This record gives sequence, structure tokens and C-alpha cells, in this order.
Amino acid sequence: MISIALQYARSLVREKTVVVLMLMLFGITIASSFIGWSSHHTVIAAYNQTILTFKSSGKVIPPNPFATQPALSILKNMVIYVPLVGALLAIIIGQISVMADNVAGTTKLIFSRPISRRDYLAGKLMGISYVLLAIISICLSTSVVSLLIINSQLPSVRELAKLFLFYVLSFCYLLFFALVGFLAALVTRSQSLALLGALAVWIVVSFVIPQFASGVSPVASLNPATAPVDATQSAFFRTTQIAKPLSLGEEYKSVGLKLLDASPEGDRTSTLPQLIPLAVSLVGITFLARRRMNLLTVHEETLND
Amino acid sequence: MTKVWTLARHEYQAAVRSKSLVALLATFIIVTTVSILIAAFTFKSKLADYNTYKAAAQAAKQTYIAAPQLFPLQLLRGAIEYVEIIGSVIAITLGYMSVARERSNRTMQLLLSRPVTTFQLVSGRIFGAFCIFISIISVTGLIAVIAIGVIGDTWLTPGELGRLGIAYGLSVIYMLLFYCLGAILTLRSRAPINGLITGFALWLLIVMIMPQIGDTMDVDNQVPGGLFHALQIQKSDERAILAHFKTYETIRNDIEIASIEKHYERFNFAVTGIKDQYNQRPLAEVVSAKRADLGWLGGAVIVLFGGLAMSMRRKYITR
Repeated sequence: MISIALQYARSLVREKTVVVLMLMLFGITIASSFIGWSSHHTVIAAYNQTILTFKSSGKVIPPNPFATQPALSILKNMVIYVPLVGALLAIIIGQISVMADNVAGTTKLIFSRPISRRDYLAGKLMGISYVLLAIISICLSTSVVSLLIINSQLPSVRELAKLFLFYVLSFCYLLFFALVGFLAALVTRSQSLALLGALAVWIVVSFVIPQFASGVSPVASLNPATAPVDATQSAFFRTTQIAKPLSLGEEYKSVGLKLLDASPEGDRTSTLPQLIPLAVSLVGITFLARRRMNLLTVHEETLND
Repeated sequence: MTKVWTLARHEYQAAVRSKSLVALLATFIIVTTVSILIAAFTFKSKLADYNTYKAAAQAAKQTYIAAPQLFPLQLLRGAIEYVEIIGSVIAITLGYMSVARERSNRTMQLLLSRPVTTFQLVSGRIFGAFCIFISIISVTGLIAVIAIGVIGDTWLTPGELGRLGIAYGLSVIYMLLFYCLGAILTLRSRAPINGLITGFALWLLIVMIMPQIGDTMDVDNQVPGGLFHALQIQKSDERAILAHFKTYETIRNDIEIASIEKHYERFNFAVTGIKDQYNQRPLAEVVSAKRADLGWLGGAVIVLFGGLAMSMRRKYITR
């Protein structure tokens, strides 16, 4: 089981497209801190300029909405980049874990050894988890270094704990998409079809459900500061907001922003119930993958007969 | 012309026979329809609120009744954004499939043995893709018109239909650009699937990341509802304040306009009046104001169509 996981993790590093996407994710992690820092400084300067304009016209000066910006909030764009770049990378990692063996013809060779379908699946899932953990660990380290450079001081223990939890959440979110890619590859047995099927799921989770449940337009959902529409203002959204807990993308974004001290709604709502849909989805998709693996066993034996 | 037509028909039929592409097209049509329906229901609700206000004002014999600030073409925002996001994915996939299919079936070698020029090969493919895209866009356009009419109780005027036609025409061109990108990358990849993955990585960069960076760097986008709105600043003061951050704004804008998606969005949002600044302005004035975006799109057409023609060489086709 561990051999399968290690073999898979090593084979991924040889895939150029995966390496490019990984570099893209690491690059965007660095860029995220810079964008957060740069926009914060500019908005403070814009506020100061506003004060001058207000003073000259004798108007009442409004309070500074960014007076005490928490250190972690400069990383808020990560709640957008992880579901964008990270999810695509996770989908590819998931589908390669099935397809690589099929293309190389090693699946039959592996099953000629005394290994059960269950161990094979566990090995693959372990391999996917190893790779995602490595990626997430690099992103976490990059974020800590960025915070250190930008704030000129080490993050506090509380900040480090929150950042750690954010990346644990991101790992779970990416694992879900890796499993979507894995399942799609098991179901379709075609690399392009698996990629497209998983991508369709990603589009529905990231854009369609949030628009349906919260009225957030597809492009607006890419801005971490976008708040959902006020459901009390529309009969339609009063009804559809029932589906909000199913909106994994929105829940990830909401919890992620809370962990990074950047939530526009503040920390008022409880976080734990928001994590239930992701946990249920992870269990559900693992169950489906296991079922599909068993079905494939029957199929292969039929073929062999 | 007959050869181009035959190639285009082949491209169209092959696409329609592909289950995965049909599934993706169906997803696109469904999500666009859902988006338009959501907008139409919201519009209907706002229209009902306005009618209630109007009836109350008339009953109170008020002399001034405000005109409704409801514009049906603004309901297309979600639909246009889905063309930006999903339309481009479909186009890249179609470009990939077009090349991967020919390679796996070895039909390209057969085609090259016939008296067909590179121009005819490229034109046939692009024309075939054009027919596919125009079919999908027409379906979503028709759904939009009916949904706005039936649910939103507002039928589009001929002028609005014309603007809708322009916006959707540009959508077809936008999708053709990504079709060329998908085909070029697949042609130049030894393993076709790498072309598709690279296409998606570029799509992520062009359609998602670059516009997102520009958007989130926008000073006004730092708080929900807009910073200047929260501070109750007039538009003229806002411009005066932003003038102090010219370099920052230039960099932000340059990141945005490096993405072809932003030019498509800016032009279509202006033509349909989604962008308030251009709402209810004469079409000629809007097109003139947005000619730079059209220029960028035109430039991308030349580069990508040319790129496809250059990639349609024997060494790439027969890999």
C-alpha cells in the first residue's frame, strides 16, 4: 500500500504539466501576499486623501474602515486562488493516479501480485494525500515567509495556528477535487473525458451553486470582498438560500476568510456547521470511489474470462 | 469553397457526435439558462415593487413619479460571464478534440494526401467551429429573450435585440479565439492530453487569475458594496482621489487588459448597458468609446488564426 503511494508520488514529479501547475500555485501564493499588502497600502492612502477632500469641503469625516487590519488578512486572496489553481491541480493529480497505470499498462501487473482492490485504492488515496500535503506545506511555508517579510515580524502563535487551520481546510477542499478527478477517471476510463467531467463538477461547485444560492455572479465570486445578496430583498433568494450549505465553494471561502481574519461578515457565525457539507462530501466521494473500484474488479474479471 | 464547406461540415458533425462535448454544451446551456432565469425572477420582483410604488404615488395624487431604473439587457450579466468562463472551456475542448480525433483516427494523413491547401484546412475548421458556437449562442440568446419576456414581463425592443446580437456575435469570436488556442496547443504537444491540460492552465491564467488580480487590486473593491460608496463620496471626488494613484491604477489596469477576456467583457458590458456609465447611451457612441477593446480582440484574432495556420504543418499534424 505504501509502495503504491510512494510510486505514484514519484511518478507525478515527472509530469511536466503537473509541475507547471504546482509552480503556478506557489507563484500565486507569493503574489497573493504582495497583492494584499499593495492594495491595503493604497486603500489607506486613498482614505487619507478622502479625509483631505472632506476637510476642505467641511464634511464630517467617516471612520477608517481599515484602521486595524489584521496581519493575516493580506493573504485573503488565497481563498480564491486555492479553489482556482489548486482545484485544477488537484483534479489532474486525482485523474493521473488512475490514468498513469492504465496508459503504462501496469494495472494488470499490479493486480497479478497479491494485492487487494481495497489496498490498491488505499495506496492511491494515500499517494494523492502525500502529494497534496507536500503542496499545501510549501504554500503554508511560503505564506509564513511572506508575512514575515511584509510585516517585518514573526506571526504570533494565534496567527500561525489560524494560518495552519486555513491550510488544513484547503487540504480537505483540494482532496475533494482530487477525489472528483480520481472518480471521473475510474468512471470514464478516458483521460480527456475524465478531465472534462471533473471540470464540469468544479464549475458547478465554484460558480453555479453560489449564484443559485446567494446571487453572487460568476465573476464577483472571484473577489474575496464580495458579500452575498441580501436574501430578505428577494423572494427568489429567500427560497434558494436553503441550498447554501450545499455550496462547498462558498462555505470554503467563508470559513477561509474567517480563519484569515478577513471576513466581511466578521466572526459572528459559527464555523463548525459550515464544515459539515465538505466533510460529508469527502466521505461520500470516497465511498463512491470504493464502490466504483469494486465494480471495475467485476468488469476486469469478466473481461479476463 | 466546397472543400472548406466539406471540412466545416465534418468538424460540426464530429463535434455533435462527441458525447463529452455534447455534455459540456448541455452544461453551458443549463447554467446560462439558470443564470438568466435567476436574473429574470429578480427583475420581475423589482418591477412588481416599482408598480406598487407607482400605484401608491398615483393614489396619493403625486405629481412626480420616478421612471423605473430597470434595464432588461442588464439581466445578461451572468450569461455573458458564463460565456467568458465556460464558453472558453468549451472552445478549448473543441480545439483539442478536433486535433486529437484526427490524430487518433489517422484521418489527417488521408486529408493531406488530397489536394487541400493549409488555408482551406484552417478555414474549414474555423468555419465548422463558428457554426457550432453560433448554434449554442443562438440557443442561449433565444432562451434569454423568452425568459426576459415571459418571466420579466418585458419584451426586448428592436434596438435592444440589435445590441444583444452584437454582444452574442462578439461571444462567438471570443470562443473562436480559445478554439484556436486549444487546437494550437494540441497540435504542438506530442501527447494531445498535454495540449488540453496546458490549454486549461492558460485559461486559468487568462480568464481567471489576471482579471481577478486587477479586480481585487481595485481600491473601490476592498469592501462589500464599494469603498467610495461606503464613504459616501461623489463620482467627481472619487476621480480626483484616484488621480493621486495613477501609477498603481495603471499597473492594475495593465494586468487586467493583458487578458483578452477583459476586453470582451468591457465591450459587451458597455453595449448591453451593464456598465452604468454606458447604459442608455447611443450605440455609435458606445462602440466608439470601446474601439480599443475591439482593436485588442481584432489583434488576438490575427495572432491566433495565424498561429493555427502556422501550426497546421505536416510535422505537427502527423505526430
